[in-house]
Amino acid sequence: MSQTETAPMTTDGRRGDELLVVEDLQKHFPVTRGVIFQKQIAAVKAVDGVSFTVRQGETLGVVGESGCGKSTMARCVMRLLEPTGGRIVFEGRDITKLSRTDMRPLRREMMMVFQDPYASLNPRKRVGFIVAEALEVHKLGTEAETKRRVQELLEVVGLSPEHYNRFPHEFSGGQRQRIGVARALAVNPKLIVCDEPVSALDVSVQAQILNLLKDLQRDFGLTYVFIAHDLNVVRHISDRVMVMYLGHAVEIATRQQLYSDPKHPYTGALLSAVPIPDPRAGRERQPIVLEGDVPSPINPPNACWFHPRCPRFREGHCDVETPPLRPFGDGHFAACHYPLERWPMTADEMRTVREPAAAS
Amino acid sequence: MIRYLIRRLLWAVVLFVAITIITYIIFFMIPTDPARKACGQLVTPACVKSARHYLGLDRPVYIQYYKFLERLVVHQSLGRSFANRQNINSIIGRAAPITASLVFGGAVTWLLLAIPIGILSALRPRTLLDRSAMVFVLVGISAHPVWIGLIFSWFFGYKLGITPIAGYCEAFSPPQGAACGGVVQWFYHMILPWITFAILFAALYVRMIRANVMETLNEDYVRTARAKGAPESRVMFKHVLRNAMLPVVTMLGMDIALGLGGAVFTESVYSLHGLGQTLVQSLSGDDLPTTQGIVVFGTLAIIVFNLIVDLLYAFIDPRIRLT
Repeated sequence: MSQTETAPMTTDGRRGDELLVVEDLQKHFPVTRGVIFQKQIAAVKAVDGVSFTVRQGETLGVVGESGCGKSTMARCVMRLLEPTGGRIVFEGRDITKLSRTDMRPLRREMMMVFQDPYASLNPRKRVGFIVAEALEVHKLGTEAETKRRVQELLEVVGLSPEHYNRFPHEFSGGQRQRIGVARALAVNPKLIVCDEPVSALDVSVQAQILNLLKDLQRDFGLTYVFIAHDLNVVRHISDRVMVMYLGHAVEIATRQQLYSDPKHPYTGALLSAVPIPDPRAGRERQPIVLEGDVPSPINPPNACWFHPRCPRFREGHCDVETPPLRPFGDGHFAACHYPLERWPMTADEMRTVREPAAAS
Repeated sequence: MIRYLIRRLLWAVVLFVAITIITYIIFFMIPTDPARKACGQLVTPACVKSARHYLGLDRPVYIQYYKFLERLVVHQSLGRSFANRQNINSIIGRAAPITASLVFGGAVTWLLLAIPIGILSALRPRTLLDRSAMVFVLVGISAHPVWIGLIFSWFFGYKLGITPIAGYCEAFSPPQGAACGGVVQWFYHMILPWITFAILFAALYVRMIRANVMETLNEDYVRTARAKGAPESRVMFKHVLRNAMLPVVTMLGMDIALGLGGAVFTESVYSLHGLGQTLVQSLSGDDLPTTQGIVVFGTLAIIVFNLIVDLLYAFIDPRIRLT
């Protein structure tokens, strides 16, 4: 086990079981102005240099507040959006520059479960068609085989095969999301990117869907990239977690590391805000409240992207020098000059910073 | 389904009675005397009196209206014209095919123009193609059909001589002594009227289709279809168009009905003796039975079209159940 095998910035010395490698992914949306001739005056840097790897069979959780680029990152990985820069390597093959046509056969290897179970299913199509379409598109099996497979899938996700001829509006939110999962599973993909699959559902249904996803992972050896803004959800399902802030990955760690020993102050603030299902403990706890809003991704702060809101901000360092993703051992990385020494921490403790031990 | 049809038909009867009563009342508000006109140059009190009795004008309005309904329901007859004693059923029988040719052919033409242009505009927004389509739309909406018709007739018919200048040909069984006949001639004579008639609607439909397709393209389920790996053509036909065309079908039913009335401009430019022209003539001649006959016919046409559209709607959008 070496430092470099999960080092997000390197492409060499991999362990060899990486299904997805993303390097320095960027997605900038142009901001234009002009009546007749549009000229670009700025760019929204929705994703600005994110690197990570996903190993075969694991679940990488991605967390961050809304607008931090999670979904954009997922759509770039799926090539539903064209990345501005960087590389996406799927099963050892660079798919960043593949054309739509060349991309098509690969789509059966990577599927996506979308956030909104209402809008993401075509209201005028029967469930059978929705689930079977990917099979049809990729020409897998005859009509009868397809139908049998779809009914099988509906059972796998906990629906009844009789639902084959129903329309999406006849289902509840949780059932619809099951349809979405069945749809993604239809062609036996290797990777499923789940873009906030449970955030539109209520808590009891969330648990059902999460357990369903876990069972499916066990039974079919699936690999997930799981996006959510709910840390409890991510904790439940992920093997490793990536924390995003303003289009950057600020911390990547295994689940245990991240939840018991976070290094980045932003991760600390997020963790301290997770509701505790015990009113007494909840009242005694002092959450670390971040001041201000997320800065505009059109005009992000210099150097460390988090410095205007960071309780550990040191002038002359954090706003001058961009912190690289530094290793903390065992594949734990965080981008901070003044990482947290221990956890848990109170807000006051967080503000007092020891001098960095022989920083770069 | 059956219950739905029955309910629709009952509503149609109510609508029909309301519209015909309104036509009758309006007609009797107009201060003219059809009996005087019927006597022509020889206006003598005796002539007017006998004409009035002959035409049934000496009885109260409600009796006249009742007679009209009785004739219509029992004999399926719309009566005879005040002006020339012709059977109105046969007047409409001659005029309706002409208007129908114009309106249905026109509808096909405007859909053939608007669907491809609208879809391409939506797929390539703010390109040269989209902007040119926009110019076409502006011209189509601003230019009056009479003006367009005259320009076309002069340019294609007179200057270039590639189309007839005006006139109509019966497609089937042309009358004795007609100058032309047959399906080919019919088509040839209808080309300019169709285009003239279609331009306004085509322009409106381009905008509508463009907006609908653009909106549908942004739907999440379209993204889902792309993520499944569906080719763009499949995404377009299986997912986008069916959803985008729904409002278009609604409008189409209404606009065809509307077109039956709007056809009068095109009819007058190309001297097509359709319903529109007949209606205008009958109005200026105080010919109540003919006016009423055309109104009745138009009302029936609108009712039937709306019914067809609603049935089509259920076919396109499976969520709508006809109950």
